[in-house]
Amino acid sequence: MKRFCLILMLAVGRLTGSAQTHAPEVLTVIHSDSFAGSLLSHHTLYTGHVRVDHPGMKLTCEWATTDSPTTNSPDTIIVARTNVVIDLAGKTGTNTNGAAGMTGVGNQSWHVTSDQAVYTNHPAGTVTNETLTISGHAIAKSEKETITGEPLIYDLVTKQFSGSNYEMVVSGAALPPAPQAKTNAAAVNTNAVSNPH
Amino acid sequence: MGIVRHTLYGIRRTAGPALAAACALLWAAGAGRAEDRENPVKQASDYTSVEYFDPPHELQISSRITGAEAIPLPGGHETLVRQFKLELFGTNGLPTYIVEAPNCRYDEMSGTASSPGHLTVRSADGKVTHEGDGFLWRQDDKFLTISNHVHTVIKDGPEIKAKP
Repeated sequence: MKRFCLILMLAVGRLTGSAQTHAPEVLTVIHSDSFAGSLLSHHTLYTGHVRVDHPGMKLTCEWATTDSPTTNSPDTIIVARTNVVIDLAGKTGTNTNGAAGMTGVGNQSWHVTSDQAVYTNHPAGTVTNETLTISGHAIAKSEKETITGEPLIYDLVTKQFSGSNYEMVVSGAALPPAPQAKTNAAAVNTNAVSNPH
Repeated sequence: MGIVRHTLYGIRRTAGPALAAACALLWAAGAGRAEDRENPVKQASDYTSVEYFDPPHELQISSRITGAEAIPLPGGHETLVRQFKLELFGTNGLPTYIVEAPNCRYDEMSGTASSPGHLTVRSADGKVTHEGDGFLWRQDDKFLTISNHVHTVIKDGPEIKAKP
């Protein structure tokens, strides 16, 4: 009986996994051609072949801005603009919050294209919240599924998508069944945001 | 800063003739050693330039530029600083950023530092580092531009506080 209760508690713990989890320090590496920024405001601009390497994703874009964490403002915010391409690392088995064998989007790798993506790391005490808000012709594709949304929100901790106007197509069969099957066109960048340079 | 540079050029103006005369005497006496013949005019060690905050924090250092060696360049405005190090401070006196470069041209008139060489920047709390090649630093607004091969590392995550 005790063993059954323990298994049940573990299962409930997995099912109730949220965006918050105890997490180690996250290393985000940004490469670019050039950099401009104020060391007073901690606001910086990266231009040219911008690449962001993060344990949960690899992102490329034409330019990006960042707000670095400070003692007074611990959040990290990266805004990626123009021709944004993101590869989200999937994980089979145990994901970052310890939910072994979690099924669904958390087990897959995703290729995402959009006009803009905003990465936010909001540490709160000993807990980390990491989200990616993808907007502007946002399309996420895996081996079997395609997700659109405006915006699409990806939780880098639970590895799950959510969002507004959210639609998922699984191997040609829409979920939930829609009146017409949606075929998503290839992402076309119409982002007219000008480079502040 | 003005004091430091004034001192540097003061050495050139006032010490030059005296040194030449001293060297001539030593040479004439046949007692001149190699280190005595070095011309101190062309280099100064332990270069330091300090800038303070505006009132009401006028007693607090806002930035400090140091170098192992400083060589005044022709034209009088620029100084070549070797082992360039720039430290930025908050109004609380704590350091915020440390910028380092092997070599740098520092222009006091325009308040800029620049170099085609390598640069490293790190926040004092160790959370952010920037590296790259070729930079321009504007002292007035504390604005940094890195031209090539930018590499930034951001360490973030939950604050782990040690138990008392």
